[in-house]
Amino acid sequence: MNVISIKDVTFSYETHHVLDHISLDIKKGDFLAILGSNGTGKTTLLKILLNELKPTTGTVAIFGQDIKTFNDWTKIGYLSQNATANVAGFPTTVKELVASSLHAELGVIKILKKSHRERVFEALKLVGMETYQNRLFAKLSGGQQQKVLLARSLVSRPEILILDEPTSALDEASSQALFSLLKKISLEKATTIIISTHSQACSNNNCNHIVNLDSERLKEER
Amino acid sequence: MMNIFAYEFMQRAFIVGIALAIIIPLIGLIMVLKRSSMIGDTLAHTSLAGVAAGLLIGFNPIVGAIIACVIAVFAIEGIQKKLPKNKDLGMAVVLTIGISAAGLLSTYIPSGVNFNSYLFGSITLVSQNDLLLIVSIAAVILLVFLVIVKDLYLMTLDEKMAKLSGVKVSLINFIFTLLTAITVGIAAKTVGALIVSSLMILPAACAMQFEKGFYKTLLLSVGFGVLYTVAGLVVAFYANQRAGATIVLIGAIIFVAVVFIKWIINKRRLERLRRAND
Repeated sequence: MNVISIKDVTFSYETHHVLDHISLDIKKGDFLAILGSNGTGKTTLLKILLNELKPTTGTVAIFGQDIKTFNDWTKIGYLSQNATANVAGFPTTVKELVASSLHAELGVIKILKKSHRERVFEALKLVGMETYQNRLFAKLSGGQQQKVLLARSLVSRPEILILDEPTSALDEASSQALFSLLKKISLEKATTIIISTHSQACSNNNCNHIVNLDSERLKEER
Repeated sequence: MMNIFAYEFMQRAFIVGIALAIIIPLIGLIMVLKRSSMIGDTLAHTSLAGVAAGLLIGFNPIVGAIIACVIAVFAIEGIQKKLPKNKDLGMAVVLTIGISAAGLLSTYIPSGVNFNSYLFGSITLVSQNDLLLIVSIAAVILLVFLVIVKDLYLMTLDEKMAKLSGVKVSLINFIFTLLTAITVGIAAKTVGALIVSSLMILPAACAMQFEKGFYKTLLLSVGFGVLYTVAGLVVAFYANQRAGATIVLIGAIIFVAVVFIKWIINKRRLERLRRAND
């Protein structure tokens, strides 16, 4: 079953052509890597999937529904390219940050119940950061911050997780560890994961579906 | 020694001062985290145009200040939407228009009316009517802030994530903008238009030195705001000084002291670590 269907999508920033007649089907449980050099349109494609940008031509369907009418965005988890930079200097604890993703489920008064606190703990445990709950986010290392942000994306139990170059600020070992963790999540939780990355090796070792975005075109590699 | 609370005007000053010291730092911390600290200054200066209009036409200057701030804040947003790459331009343009309008209008104010008291505040001259108006508005601002605080946290942290989490970003932004404008408006007469932005920034700056989570930092900001205000009013009363300026100066002194103490503590901690490693 396709959770995302991209058909013949073209996109341009004014006169700068970025995507040219892209088509791609993403199945439930896929761990998809979108490879490509800087400026080839990986982030643009992800922004189209998040309905932040409208394609010039073509269609995108999420869970079989046209993206223009799709509104259940709580089913989508997202980790942006500059997520750690956004949070840097912000006074927030790890627990507060992860719990913020449960916002949509909290109702008007927005008080965390015991079940919510347990989910925060579980998400942190999944990424191996459960002992850091009360630590200040800004005091963690880059790799630890990335894991906490991943836990934040996971706590709302999304069916699709979109990550925009989450390893760009990590060393090779940390990148490999993050990919292994994502693979584990994809297999255990049947979460569809879409990741844009430069790392061919990490993708080859962990992803079941790999595409390469180059010269405005998409090429299936696996 | 005179008993400070024996005077009704000082009782009113403490009530109004504490009410403002609770709401101003709440708004201030969010503004600091949104990296839009300058908006407080812009609104405060523009509020003077409303004050002048109120004194000239004959309606409550606090209401004039609130109206001027609301107009200013939406003018800033309008300009920022038209010029998204030069967001600070909106504030600069509105600040210039606001201060020019205040300058022009103030020349027509009758000589018996003290327009200058709005520049540096006159918290000890707050009337019973002003007290009721300010405390009621402050209570509503506090209530609304508490209702939207989790949305504000999420939006300030990551607007994209907030949208995905179902936060109505435009609506919450609109409400917060309105709260900011009203807060600056009601603080103009008491704290002073030229120094209200300091009372927004300094408690937040002090609280952030403690490196706590978001909600503890909010509480600490309020704590510092109340501390500055109470200490400032007491010192101003006995030293016969302007209350607004004294409050802000005490805030600045406490900020420098907090930064200095933190520097000493960190230095000692590093030395201990170095010795332990040796």
